[in-house]
Amino acid sequence: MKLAKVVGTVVLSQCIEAYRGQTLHIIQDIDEALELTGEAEVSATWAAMNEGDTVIVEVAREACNAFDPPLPTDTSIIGKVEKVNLAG
Amino acid sequence: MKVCTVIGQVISVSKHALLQGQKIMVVKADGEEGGLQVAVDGVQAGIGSRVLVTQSGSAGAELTGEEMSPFRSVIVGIIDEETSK
Repeated sequence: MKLAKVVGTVVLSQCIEAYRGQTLHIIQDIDEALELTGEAEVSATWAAMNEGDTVIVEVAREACNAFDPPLPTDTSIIGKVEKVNLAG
Repeated sequence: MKVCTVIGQVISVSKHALLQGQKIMVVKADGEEGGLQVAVDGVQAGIGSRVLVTQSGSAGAELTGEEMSPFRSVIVGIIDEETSK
């Protein structure tokens, strides 16, 4: 599970049935300075987020369990972060 | 499982129902760089604690009481002592 920032949204013109109506966000990891790092990727989300939101993302098989019925995804936003308190 | 140091805490009000009431900590594995990793705290670890972090869906299920847990990163223990050759 990791922290990331929402940097955009993806809209699909055609998709498999399970993805119909699903919001998909573009996210990017953040580092200890809370700055963007690494490559952007696409994530499903349990609730719609806004661009710039810091989010909790599960990147694993369990990501599909954020949805009922389970969504065939390996990346899901499962929380919106208000604040990150880092030591030092 | 990885040995990590707790380097922070995440404050999150709006989150998946199965994350409600769970404490989420920022953890850093020894020698790992890159983006911030987080784990659900199953043991009341504090910032600075040396902890054991598992990536097991079963650990998520254990904490939530639900078989279909939406997360698998869990702090399962606080380390008192480490020895290695």
